[in-house]
Parts: sequence; C-alpha cells; structure tokens
Amino acid sequence: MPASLDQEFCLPGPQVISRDFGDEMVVANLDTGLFYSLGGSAPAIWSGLLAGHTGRQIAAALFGSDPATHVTAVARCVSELLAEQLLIPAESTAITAAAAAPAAIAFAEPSLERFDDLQGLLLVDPIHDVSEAGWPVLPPADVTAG
Amino acid sequence: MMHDQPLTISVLVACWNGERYVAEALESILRQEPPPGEVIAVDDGSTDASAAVMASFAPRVTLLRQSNQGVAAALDAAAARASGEAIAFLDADDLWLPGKLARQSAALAADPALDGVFGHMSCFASPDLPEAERATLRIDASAVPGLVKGALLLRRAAFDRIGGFGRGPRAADFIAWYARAAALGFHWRMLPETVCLRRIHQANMSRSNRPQQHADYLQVMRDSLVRRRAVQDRGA
Repeated sequence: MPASLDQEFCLPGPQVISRDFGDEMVVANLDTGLFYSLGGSAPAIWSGLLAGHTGRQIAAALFGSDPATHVTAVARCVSELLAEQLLIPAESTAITAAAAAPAAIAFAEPSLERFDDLQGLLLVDPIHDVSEAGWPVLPPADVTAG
Repeated sequence: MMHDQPLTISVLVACWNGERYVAEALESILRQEPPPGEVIAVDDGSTDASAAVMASFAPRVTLLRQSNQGVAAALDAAAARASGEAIAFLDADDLWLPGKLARQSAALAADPALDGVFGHMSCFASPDLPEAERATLRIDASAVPGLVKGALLLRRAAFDRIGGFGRGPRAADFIAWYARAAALGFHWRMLPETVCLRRIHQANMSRSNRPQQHADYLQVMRDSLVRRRAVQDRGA
C-alpha cells in the first residue's frame, strides 16, 4: 500500500493500547481480544506513526542510509498495522508540524506477531467495553424514559 | 468414571466495602444444593459494615479480616485456610445461580483429567442503580462464556500447582493467573449453563484508574510472550 507512506495515522480508539518493553512493543485491541508483539524496527515505526509522522518521514529519519529498502519495509509494516485495525488514517495533519523528528536507529526488519490465547478473558472482562464514562453508554437518541 | 463421593468444596469470597451486596452474594452460595463444605469470606480492610454483615452469617461463613491488600491477596489468604478438594470464588457484588456448584462438581467428578470447570455468565443492572443512570447503559444480559473467577470450580490440586492470584498485576490478577495456568497445562471445560451473574452498579461503573489497568493487561501479555519464548528456547 505505497499510498499510505504519505498518510498520517492515529489509534482507532481507546480500545487499542500499547506498551514499550524496550526489546518489543506489545499492542492489544481490547475489542477483539487479540494482542500483538512488534519486533525489529516495528516499535520505532509504531511510535513514529503515533507521534504524527508519515511512513516516508519515518523511513528517512530512522533509517536514512538505504531509503528504498527501508521505505518498502515501513510500508509493509504500516499495511499490516492497518489490516489488523490497530491504526486508522488520521483526519488532521496538524500533528506533523509539532512532532519532533524520530531519532535515528539501526534498521531491523519489522515484525508483527498476533496472539489470541487471552482472547476469551479479555472479551469477557468489563474493562474492555467501557467508555470513559464507565460501562457502555447508549447514544443519547436511544435513551428512553421508563 | 463417576466417583461415589462428591468433592468437598470451599467457597472463597473477598469483600472490600461491599456492605450493600455481600449478603446477597453469600445467600446465593449458601442456597446451593448441596451447600458447599465451607465458605470463607475475607474482609479486605473495609471501612463500611461489610465485616459485620459477613459475621452475621456465622457459623456457616468463616470470616477472615485483613488490612486492604486487594482481591488477589484476600483470596490467597482464604485459600490458605481452605480444606476442600475443590475451590470456587465469588466477588462480593456478584451472584451465583442455583445449581452452579452441583453441575460443576458433577463435571469435575466425571472427568479426573479436568483441572477446572467454567460456566456461562451474564450481567444485570443492580436494582439500586438509579433509573436515569440505568437508562443510559447498554447492558448485554445475554450469557457469554464466563472465563472469570466467579464462574469457575477448580480442583485444589490445580490451584496448588498453578499458584495463587497474588503473583499477578493487581488490575489483571485473573488474566495473569489464567495465562500462567495455560502455560502449565490447565485442562478445563465450559458448561453451557449460566452459573454466575455479574452485577453492574455504580462502584464498578466508574473505572478511575484505567491507565494502570491497561498497563497491567499489557504486562500480562508481555509475561505470556516471555514464557512462550522460554519454552521455545528449551525445545530448540
């Protein structure tokens, strides 16, 4: 999906959470109960995307020495993140101007692994489906008296 | 092969400031047929009348008291006192349905290879929830597979093998326990019947520390990945 290289992305909602453990980024979608391990340069790509950088900017800033190879790898990583619905295209481009360029790191082939072994527990846990207000709240139009 | 003698069962309840609901929870336990061999309730440092409410169930309920240490530590303290061949758990605000223990006990007795038996669960709006508040909530009352503590009957031997709940992150204690159990070869089945009702009330509606809960979830996932890789490395 080369076009996505110049697109900015954001989280689809509070159901997607992530934590950087240094040697890997763990990402979870509490709506699907799936979780993911991002390895290689994928954590840096994930962080760069969430900071408002495009894939092309990340490829250039992070791994500037071999742009063609790295742009392809970043594009593949972005496509996988989109396919898993961990990111969606951002509507606003306002973030980019404020975001500092990601620091350069050595390139390692990005990897994304998906796991479903905690799915049943995550889906049944009430935390996964609460809004900021708490338990799922009906849209105002659906609220009726009595 | 069916065993002649039913399993002896200990039921463990942890309660923190649950004066409003814990009597109903205990009654739903004591109404089981046959009733469990023992019920151990832990007052986890409540500042309300929870301990007095639970004490009123003596001698059918044994009350333990501790400073506030969280649900996991409270259940582990109760487990240390439990003598049953199987143990079950119920949150102080939730309810069991009639037949819960009998069905699960029969399932465990019928299959010695099983470590535990879950049942389905559903949610209900607590009657004391203000109507205006209840009207804004979308509560799915349909039964779902209850991979939760309250819907489990577990052999004591399996609990001893897997370990207690207190070793996991506080906001994800059961998920951490389950992940550890799965890595150790936890054999369970899910009954089609609904055995547990989860109460939706004002206290559990507000989730004030979600960042910590999410961090704990992600820590459990990370621990699971580390365990998985260790197993793979040993097999390589």
